[in-house]
Amino acid sequence: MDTKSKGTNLARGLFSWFCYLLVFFTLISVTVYGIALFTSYGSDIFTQAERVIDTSAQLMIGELRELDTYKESASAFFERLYYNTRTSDTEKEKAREAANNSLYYGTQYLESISRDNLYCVIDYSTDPNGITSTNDPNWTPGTLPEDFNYLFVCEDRCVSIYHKFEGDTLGCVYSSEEAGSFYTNALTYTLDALRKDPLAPDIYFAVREEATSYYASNEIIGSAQNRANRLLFQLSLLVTAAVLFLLMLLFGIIFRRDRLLFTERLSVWMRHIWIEIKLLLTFVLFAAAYLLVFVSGSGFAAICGFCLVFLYIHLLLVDLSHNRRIWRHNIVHSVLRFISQARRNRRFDHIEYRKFLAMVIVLSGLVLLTVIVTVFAVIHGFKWRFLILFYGAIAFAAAGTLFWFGAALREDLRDYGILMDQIEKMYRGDLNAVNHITSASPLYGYAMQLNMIRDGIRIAVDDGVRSERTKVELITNVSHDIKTPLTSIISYIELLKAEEDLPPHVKDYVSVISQKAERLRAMIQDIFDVSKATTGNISLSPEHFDLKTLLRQTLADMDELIQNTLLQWRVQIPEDEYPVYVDGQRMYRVFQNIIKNAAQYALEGSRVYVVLVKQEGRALLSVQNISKHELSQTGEELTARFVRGDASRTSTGSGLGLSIAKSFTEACGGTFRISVNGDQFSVEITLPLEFQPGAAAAEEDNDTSNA
Amino acid sequence: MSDKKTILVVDDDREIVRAISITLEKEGYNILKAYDGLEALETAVTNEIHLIIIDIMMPKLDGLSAIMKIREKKNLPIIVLSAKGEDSDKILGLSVGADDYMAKPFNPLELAARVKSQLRRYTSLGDINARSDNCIVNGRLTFNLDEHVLYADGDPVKLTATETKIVELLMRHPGRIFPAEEIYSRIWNEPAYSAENTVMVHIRRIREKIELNPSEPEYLKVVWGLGYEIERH
Repeated sequence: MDTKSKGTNLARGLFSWFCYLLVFFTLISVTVYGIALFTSYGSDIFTQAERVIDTSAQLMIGELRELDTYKESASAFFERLYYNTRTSDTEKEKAREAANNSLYYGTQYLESISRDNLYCVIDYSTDPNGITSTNDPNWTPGTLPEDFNYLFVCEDRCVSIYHKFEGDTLGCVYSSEEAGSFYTNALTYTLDALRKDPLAPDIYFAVREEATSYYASNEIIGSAQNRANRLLFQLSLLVTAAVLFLLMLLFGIIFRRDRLLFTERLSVWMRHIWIEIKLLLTFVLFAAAYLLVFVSGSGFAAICGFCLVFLYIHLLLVDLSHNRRIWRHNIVHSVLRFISQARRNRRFDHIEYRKFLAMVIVLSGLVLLTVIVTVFAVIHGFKWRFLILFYGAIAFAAAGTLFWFGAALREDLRDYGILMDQIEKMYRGDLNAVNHITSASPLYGYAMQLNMIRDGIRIAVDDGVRSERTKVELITNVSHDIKTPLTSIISYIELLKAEEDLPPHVKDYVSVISQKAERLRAMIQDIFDVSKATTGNISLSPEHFDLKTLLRQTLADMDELIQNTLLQWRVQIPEDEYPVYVDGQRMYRVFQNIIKNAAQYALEGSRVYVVLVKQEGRALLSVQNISKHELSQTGEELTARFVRGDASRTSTGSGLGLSIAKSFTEACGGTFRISVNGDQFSVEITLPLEFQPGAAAAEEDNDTSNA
Repeated sequence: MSDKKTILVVDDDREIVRAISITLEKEGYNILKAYDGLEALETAVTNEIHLIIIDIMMPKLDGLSAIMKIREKKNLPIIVLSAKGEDSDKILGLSVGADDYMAKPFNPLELAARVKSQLRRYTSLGDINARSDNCIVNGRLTFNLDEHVLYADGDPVKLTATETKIVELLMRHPGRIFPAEEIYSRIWNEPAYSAENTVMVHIRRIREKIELNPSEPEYLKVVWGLGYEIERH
């Protein structure tokens, strides 16, 4: 509802605005036309105006024959009669010359005018008594018959003109003897010629009041009528224009509010036009106005030109009065705002792409402007100084745009680089890497997010480290707290053992307690070791040695255990070199544990394979056996702490053996893998072999493939 | 001359002190008891004491501080007890002036052996050295090159001929690591065949005769991956 009324208001405003403009255009037209008339007529303008007014007045009265046009047409006929009735050729020639060649039409002309008008010419040039030529012999020359209202009499080189007024009274309206009296302009030359002509004929010419023939009526009455009609048309046009003008003025005044509302709306629309465009339009408009007013030479074009200028000034005033900060809305500002707006919501790639587009648009605009100005310059021949100045400005603007884009791009890419660096650093574990990207950068949001991620990771890592440390401390403290009472237990068991007079069954009990205490002691040590190893708290003292020797030593050391099992041990140690650089003590524990494991959990009577080989630049030790128990756990689970193949946990051992072996192997830079395939249980340990000239290439290949 | 040696046993756990006391009294020592660092210091200063067994973690004054204070006044063997059992603790204990170190839980019989060893070394080591100039002394081990006899804490150790040869070889080069092959070829004078097992068997036997705790040897050690040595003390 509201919008509808607004819409009608707007339409009314638009109409009112047009009226307002047209009023001013009319005023401008009138003024321009007036000035044009004044410049062409000078001071005669008032005489002209008087004539126009007189004619108009006569027309208003309605007597066609009183019009000057009628008189002039009649005079012209008289004139022509004079020239065309000359008999001799020389006379005719003379007369024609005197009449500037324009009034001679030949004898048929006489016929044409004789249809309606009466004439009688007495020529004395060849006969002193005169030769009379007339179109109506019955007519007494010098009288004015019925139905005729004008009589031209030329006797003795004197011309008199008579006019029949109302009531059939005949009055002399002109006599050339009365100097100074003026009848029509048309007769001036002829009268002069008559006066100078010694052989001037006597001429009588009567003009019929109402034309009977088409031809004659066209000549005298028709032309008058035409003139009158034209004048009437012009007058009615003028009146209509005046009425319209007044109407428009009225509309303009009545709907002034709507018009102002409309201009306000117009100003809002204009607000969105860049000042550069406005300036360009100004330039184009003034050029057009200049062309229209001064170059074209046409009055209408000039009026159009002035109207354009007026329209421009009007719009400018509207713009200036409503849009305070007209200069703010320029292309650069818009581009910048666009970018900053884009920066807020857009992704980095969008922002960069927009920047690039902005640059392209500005450059294209500059090129377009250059082309336009160049075309104008070629057409109108601008001064070269102006052109140089203009091209300089364009070049400066283009260079500035390019520089701006380059600098912005470089800055953004630098920030991008900073982020990439930080990500790389963080990837490598440097959680202290912080970026300091300014808030103006389009990457600021991402940078802050990255910093927050970093903080989050650091907190998580710190928490992890702290909790791991707490765990180690807990285990250390617990094992310490267990050790003290265990010391007492072991000590008193020893004292009990030393008692000699104990009954045998009590001795048996004591030995059971002793065994369990010993096992508890071993377990505590294992727990301690594994917790240290998994948290990377063990100190290594690596040495260069041959892994083969270590394996043999381990097997020799455990020979007793190995011989006591009901297993067949198949040991394959090739006579190759297995140079390694690891902690021998730790690796001994590893080998010891896996061999113990095999000895403890292999099925009685089955074979245990202990094989050492080289594989891809690493030493590979595998121990395979058939499990005594059905294995429900995976290899991964078996290396977890306190896991044992027999779920009932009836056998001895802490359940940490494989876990310790895995931890120690990994601490020494090796890999430890357990695979379970049915009852087939195998442990595979690899350790990097030390550099050897022959094996260099192969080793390097493997390093990279294992990394 | 009172043959009975006096030993001060310090631990905040009274049961442990009692157990140690009973064990050592059976061995024929006089025992003084203390239950914290200050008491230990007082007792050590006021009495004639030949050896101290002291725990590290104690109230009032901890074991290490007590050892340092006692060391200022007295020159006597000190055996440290600790529940920590880490290498770093062991090194710290020995560096402040302890002579031996025992990680809890320990076997009281081993402690008794260590006590005996320490007392021997402090009192009668000179006698052994005086017996012959042609001796190699390394800690509590002494090898008489003339007699081809190994003494541990002054007592001759009964070794077989092969064992003696191995011990002599190792004692002549304390700290040097001998691969099994080398030991085999030197002792048996024939190329090594299955040297590792043979040598290992002998090494284990020698250990049982000379080490206080054969499962944690202090002298005759396996250097894993390389060979065998008698560590220099």
